[in-house]
Amino acid sequence: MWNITLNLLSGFGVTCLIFILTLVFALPLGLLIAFGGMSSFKPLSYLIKTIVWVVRGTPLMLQVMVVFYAPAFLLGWSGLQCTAATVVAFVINYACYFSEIYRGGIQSITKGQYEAGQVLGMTKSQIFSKVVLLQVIKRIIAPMSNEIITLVKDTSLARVIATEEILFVAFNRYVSKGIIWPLFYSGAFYLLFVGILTIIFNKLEKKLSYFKA
Amino acid sequence: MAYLELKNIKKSFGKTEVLKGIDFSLNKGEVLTIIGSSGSGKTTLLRCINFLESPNDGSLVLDGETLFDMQNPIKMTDKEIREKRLNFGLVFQSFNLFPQYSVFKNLTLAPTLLLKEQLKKLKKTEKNKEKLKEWFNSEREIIRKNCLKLLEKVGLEEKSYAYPCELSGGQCQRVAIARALALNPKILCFDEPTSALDPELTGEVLKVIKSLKNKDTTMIIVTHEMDFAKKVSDKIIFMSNGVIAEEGAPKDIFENPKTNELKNFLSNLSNKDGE
Repeated sequence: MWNITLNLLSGFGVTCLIFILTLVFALPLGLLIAFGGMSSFKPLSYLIKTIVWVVRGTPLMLQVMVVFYAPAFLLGWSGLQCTAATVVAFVINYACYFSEIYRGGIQSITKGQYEAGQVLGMTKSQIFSKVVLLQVIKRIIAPMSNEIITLVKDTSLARVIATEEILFVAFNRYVSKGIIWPLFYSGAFYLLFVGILTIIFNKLEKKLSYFKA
Repeated sequence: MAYLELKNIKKSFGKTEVLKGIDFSLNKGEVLTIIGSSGSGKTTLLRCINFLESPNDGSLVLDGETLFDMQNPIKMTDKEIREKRLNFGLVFQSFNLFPQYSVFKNLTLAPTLLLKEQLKKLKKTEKNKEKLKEWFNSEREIIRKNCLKLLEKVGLEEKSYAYPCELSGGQCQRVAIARALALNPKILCFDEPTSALDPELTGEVLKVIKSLKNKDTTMIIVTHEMDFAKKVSDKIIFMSNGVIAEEGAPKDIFENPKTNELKNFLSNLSNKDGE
């Protein structure tokens, strides 16, 4: 029992690592993609829209496989180690989803807020950071929390390239040898993790409930 | 020469010509109201003056300085546009307060940002950091005191730490007026300041605007409140289909309308009960 817990914990460590690294890179990258997609420079916005279409239009599992195998097969490179390949694929995939959430949030802010900033002599970046940003954050908390909770569970797709995340450990070490209960045990890890995230998001939502936007 | 002079302002959106050559001038300390039916171009004119739209033709001279002249257009940087814009304040129909900030912060935000920019510039030349900090703190204190005074002026000093969602529409608009005044604009513009308000709340806003009238405050007000226009204006412009159909003192406009458009406009107003 103790042994199984330790093994699952080490798998859970990989799960958390994928989760955190994906967030750290995909959150800012998503904002960049959102700005690119809204750019008035048409070639850029079409390029971005095409990329978002491809990434959202194909399975994440397929993208993980492509990032892992394609460099070796097509270019003869040694390729990425499996956790790194997983993170790269996840960052690209989630950045595209986040970008759409950002875009929705940014475009939902009325023109009047920008104009009020303008007539008060603010620069474009001041208007974004001081006026618009917090209102956007407030509006996207709900869709963002949805997406981030999905990310927790999507990490299990990494097992397709033998990344040793928690579900991989539970299945390959135990279920394949006829021990079924670690499968439920690993489910509890996900539940606990998502539970904590839910509490954090609720707190954040409450913290921003002092104003209406 | 007049304080503010607009010449031949034209503005089209696509094929629709909204302003077909507007000329007017205004002296310092005067209150100008612009009336006219919806779609006559009143708001567009105000937005051109505030650099929210760029006109297709025409020029604007304020206090001897040409702010724009589309006959000899110069490419303006964002910074120049910002500086020129600060000559004007604009109060919107829908207030556009910043919801995440307290009333007080709504007022202090823009002046403080400008002060910080100034500080950044000074840091390049001034070596004495202590002195600079002292200067910054005292300037910031001045901004705070000024903003408190403005809140007092619009009768909302008790609401300093309230958030916009806790205020009535009339109170929001009074905050918006104070916010525009906090930057000390040469000309304060109002775009239908009471049109989004319940009838019982328009009075408090109009009272505040009236209280601002003195020899130093120059105002341009777009409004549908005719009684208010009659009382507060030094000069009234009646716009119709993108041109100034008639202009003059309140008395001339209301008691002695010359054009048919204005006659119709005024008689429609007095018949608005549907009688």
